[in-house]
Amino acid sequence: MSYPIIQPPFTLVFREMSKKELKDYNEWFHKVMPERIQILTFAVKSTPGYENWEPDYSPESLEPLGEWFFAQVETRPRTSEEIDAIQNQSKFPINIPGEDLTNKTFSLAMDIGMYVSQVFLKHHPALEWSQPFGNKKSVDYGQPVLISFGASPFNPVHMMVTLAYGFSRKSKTGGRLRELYNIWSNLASAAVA
Amino acid sequence: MLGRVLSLVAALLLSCASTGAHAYAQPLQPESARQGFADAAHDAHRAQARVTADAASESSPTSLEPPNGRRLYAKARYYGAGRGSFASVDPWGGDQLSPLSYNKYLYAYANPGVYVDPDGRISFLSDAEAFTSQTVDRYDQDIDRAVKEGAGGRAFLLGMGKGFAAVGDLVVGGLNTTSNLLARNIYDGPTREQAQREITENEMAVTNAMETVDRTATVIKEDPTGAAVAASNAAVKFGSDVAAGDPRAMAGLGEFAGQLVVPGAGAKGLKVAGESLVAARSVMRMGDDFLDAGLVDELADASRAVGRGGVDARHSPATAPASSADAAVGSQALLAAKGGIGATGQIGETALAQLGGKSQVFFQTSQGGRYVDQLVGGIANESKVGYQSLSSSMRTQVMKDVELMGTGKIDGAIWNFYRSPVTGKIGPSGPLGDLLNQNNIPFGLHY
Repeated sequence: MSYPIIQPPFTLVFREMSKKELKDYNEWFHKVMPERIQILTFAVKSTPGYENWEPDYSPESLEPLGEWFFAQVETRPRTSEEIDAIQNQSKFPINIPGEDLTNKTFSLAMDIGMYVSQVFLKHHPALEWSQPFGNKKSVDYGQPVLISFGASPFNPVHMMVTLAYGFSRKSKTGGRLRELYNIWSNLASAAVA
Repeated sequence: MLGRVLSLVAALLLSCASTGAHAYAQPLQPESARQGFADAAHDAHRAQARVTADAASESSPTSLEPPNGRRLYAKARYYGAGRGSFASVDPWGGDQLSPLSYNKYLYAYANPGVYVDPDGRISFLSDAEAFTSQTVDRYDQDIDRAVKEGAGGRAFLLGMGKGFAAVGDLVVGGLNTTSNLLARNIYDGPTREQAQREITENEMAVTNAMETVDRTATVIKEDPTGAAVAASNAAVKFGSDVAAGDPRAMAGLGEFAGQLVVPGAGAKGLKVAGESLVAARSVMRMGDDFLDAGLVDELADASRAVGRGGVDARHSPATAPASSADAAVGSQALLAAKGGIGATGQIGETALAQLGGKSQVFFQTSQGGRYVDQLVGGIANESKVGYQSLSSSMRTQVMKDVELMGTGKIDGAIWNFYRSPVTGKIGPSGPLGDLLNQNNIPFGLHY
């Protein structure tokens, strides 16, 4: 499978990025989205068993995509520097997993997040993009998110990265992607009602 | 050891004194302006939006003029209520960080639900509701009275005072909360985490306020004559009111006005607030040392003193105004303390690892906000010190984690318990442990 990893021209340390950088990031995210979904499509369809997958933005298309994503997730050992950095952030000692996702997996999570966001937008016209700036500590701070699900926004990149972690430790299976769509889809419908 | 106690108390009292210094020293966003023109403009803007919506829904020609077709005085220019925008060009040049500010006619960036434009020049985030308190309510009541009595000048000054108090109340209130949390922390270890969060949030509030001061200073720099004329007009109105009103009360208001027309006053208050936060952090660190040394009572007394001092400070007279140079110094000092922006140099593929996790992450849930101590690999690590029983807040915290897991925002949660250095106890109570188990939230004891 030929898959060029996404190259964000930003640090992705959202809390430390200026508002202008974040706005540029938001613009870049939307700009590269069509191309990245094409790259994702090519990567999926070039995988044996997924030649017939169609990126038609249907909820059903998420089922094979979830299975494919599950099979693609890779991890690498965390370096001691990375472990120290996390431990230094924490007030108390915690157990830090010895492995982290590879850059390729993070990249896939971004691409799949973009695709999933388009599935939502196609089937829930009330949803719209936003970029929250209220709380720097927020997991969504300065990032493109979909809103109108009710109390909480849907951050496609964060959601897919979290899903990838679940896949990596086998706490979730490929069907979880469609399941998540259903859960959030219900929230969107309830918010409109 | 006594020396350490005394130094701690001194630091705490210094923090307290600093808190008092900015109690009334922040002329950021005169609330009077919001309550006057801004509200009217908002109403007009919304009315125009409704007219537009009605026109669209009925598919019939509809005049965009409001019922009264009025023009509203907006200080620097007039607002055309019928068109939902200003009638003349914005005298302010604009800000490259807010591209919409270059539009010379937009009111509140065409988003009056989020912004206000109190004087026809700059739009601000309309988050004043979050700042409101009893002090602000009292100003509202006073303003109503002044209006009924026809005391325009007094109402004007009260309005300015209201805006002043609103921001001051935010910062001072936050610091008081921190002080109280510090005091409680002596007896209840986990509130230390809450105190740290409060401090962080206060820092953010101060930073945001500082940005507002900078923007205000820009306006005044670009239009110093206008600022001077406004101050002069205020003085004239004030003078006319003195003849009809209570001289003592008017003198008090004059103090406010005097501070409000000097833009640096607020900035100095914020500078001091920033220093207070630094001091609070220092106190937290010293608190750790004292806990380790078993000097619980001394620290408790000192913390309570800060709590009392903070309350007193909120009701103390205003301090002397400062120069605008203080504004710049305060602003730069705080921003410098925050560190550089975008200096990590991680660009491209290597930056992707940043998506993996971080500390003190805030999540919004349908049950309220949830701060996760450490998010690693999709797992929310929660830290608890000492023995924890199943209180209602603890139950809510568990259920927030359950919601986050259910909606896929986190892949799982782990609750970590640490022995309290004060009580020597550790772990969840039986019911809390059961609730965690029932919801597949593992917990560990770190002795």
